[in-house]
Amino acid sequence: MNAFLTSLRTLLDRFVWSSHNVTRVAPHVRDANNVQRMWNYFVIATLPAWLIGLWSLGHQTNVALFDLHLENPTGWRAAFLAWSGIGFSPYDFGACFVQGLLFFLPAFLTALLVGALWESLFATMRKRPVDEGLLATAWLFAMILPATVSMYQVALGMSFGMVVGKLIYGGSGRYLVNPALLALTFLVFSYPHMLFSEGVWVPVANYDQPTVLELITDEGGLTVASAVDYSYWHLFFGDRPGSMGAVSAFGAILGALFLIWTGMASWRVMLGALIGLVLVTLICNTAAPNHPLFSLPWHWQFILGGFVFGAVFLATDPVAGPMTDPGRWGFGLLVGGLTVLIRVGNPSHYEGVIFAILLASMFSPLIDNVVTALNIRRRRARLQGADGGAADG
Amino acid sequence: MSEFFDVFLRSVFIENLALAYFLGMCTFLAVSKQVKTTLGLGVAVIVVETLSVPINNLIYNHLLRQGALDWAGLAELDFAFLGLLTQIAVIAAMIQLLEIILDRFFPALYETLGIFLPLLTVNCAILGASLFMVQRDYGFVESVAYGLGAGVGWALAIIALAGLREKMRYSDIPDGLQGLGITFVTTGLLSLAFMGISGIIW
Repeated sequence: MNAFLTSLRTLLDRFVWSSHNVTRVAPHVRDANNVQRMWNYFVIATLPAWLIGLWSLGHQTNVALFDLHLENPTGWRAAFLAWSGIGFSPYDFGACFVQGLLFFLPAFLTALLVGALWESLFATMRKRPVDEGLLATAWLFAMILPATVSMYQVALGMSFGMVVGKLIYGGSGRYLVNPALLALTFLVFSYPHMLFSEGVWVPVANYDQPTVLELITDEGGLTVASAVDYSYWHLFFGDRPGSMGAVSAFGAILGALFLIWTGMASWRVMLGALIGLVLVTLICNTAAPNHPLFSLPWHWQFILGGFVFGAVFLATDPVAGPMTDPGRWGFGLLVGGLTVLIRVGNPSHYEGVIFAILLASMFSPLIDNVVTALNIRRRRARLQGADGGAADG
Repeated sequence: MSEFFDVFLRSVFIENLALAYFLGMCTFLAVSKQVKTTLGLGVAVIVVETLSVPINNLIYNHLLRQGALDWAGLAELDFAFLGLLTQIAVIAAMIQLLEIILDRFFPALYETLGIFLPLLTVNCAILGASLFMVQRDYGFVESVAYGLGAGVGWALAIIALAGLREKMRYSDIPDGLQGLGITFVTTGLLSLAFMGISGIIW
């Protein structure tokens, strides 16, 4: 029991303070950096997307309340907003953000708590030091959830992601797929009608506002998006229904710049994903120019759904992705291409990007393997060539 | 031609024998420690499937099924109950032939495959492909596509698993899960990943 409490305390410390142990072994040897700080950078990088995402969620909610003429909405969130005088104005940035925050915080805290319990349990039972990266996992997981998710679903998903995705493989640097991503995929397959379906994006009862991707899929093409007052830059900025934190392409791009600047995530994966997306979209465009989804231009595919968020924060997971640079290009291309294929091929899986990253992660060791084998072959050929030259001379 | 690609892609990605039906698990779990070995095994499975499924298709459609012997004036005969038996026999014969040919002309590949080649006779993925072919009433061209696709899908799955298992050598797995236990879990994750593309309509 004492050991259990100690590991819980270590986890709490780590949210604020970094551990003193600098990483010496896998996955990444860095100067003064360590795994915990690397994950903290990921969390910092998501902040712009998080701010815009929560504002957008609150905005959609308040607009829905306004549209339905619900002057006195019920529930603890409404009670808090009314009591504190923040109110429900859809035009007030602060009011919208707090409304969104009240949906985000319970999911995030539940995920964090459940994750901390599992981490401490495994650390105690297996007599290992507590693992890093929990905060980022819980944070990213909460950001890709829809606002109407129930807390038991969050707990279940987080448990699966942490235990099966990370802890039984030995934790940081040893897992096969990003735990947050696995947690979400598990939930999507377990509750296909409760997550990612009608009316889940805006948490107001009897109010269905589909994501733009759903709208385009179901109603037929881009004309619909402009018919309901969605302009391109509007959507690029992130003002639309969607996952809690993953709607803003603009915010995610700011985060990407930060991650690349600090050297935490691979720009090859991100750029590869973009190129893959563009290539497959162009192929689809030429294949069926009249089909509403196939004909969608690439700059629309780029901002719709959670593509940018997924490509920047989930696909660049340093452990699940390939370790070689050419492998990272290949991995990125695979993510981008598969995202479009799943979107246009399977209208029930709007968020193609999570499945694309999961599948690409499964093949990432193989990609590394091929790159290494080619490298060995090339260097061996060069060596033999050099030997021959020396013998001649 | 689009029919061909349709059946092929479906059998590789959507109705993957290893990851959607969990067929051929014994070989799948036992021989997936190294990418190099699985490459040879994968090629062997692809060859055997691509040959055995169309041959079984011809035998079933032209000799066994009810009305197949119409040309000999024996329309009322129905030998469908012999289906399973002939399929196993055809697969065993195919593998014997393949072994002889490989031994004679490609000794290096024959050496690499070693014991796995005769073991394919009892691999349920290979028999399963023939049974699915009968059940789904495939024509000859479709059965070629299906045989090829089933083989490629199974090979893809086992090569991916081998890649993951090579990476997992650095993992720190609890004692109770080491070996086959974690391999089962990993197969489950791989299957989950393939489920993501399972609903694609071409």
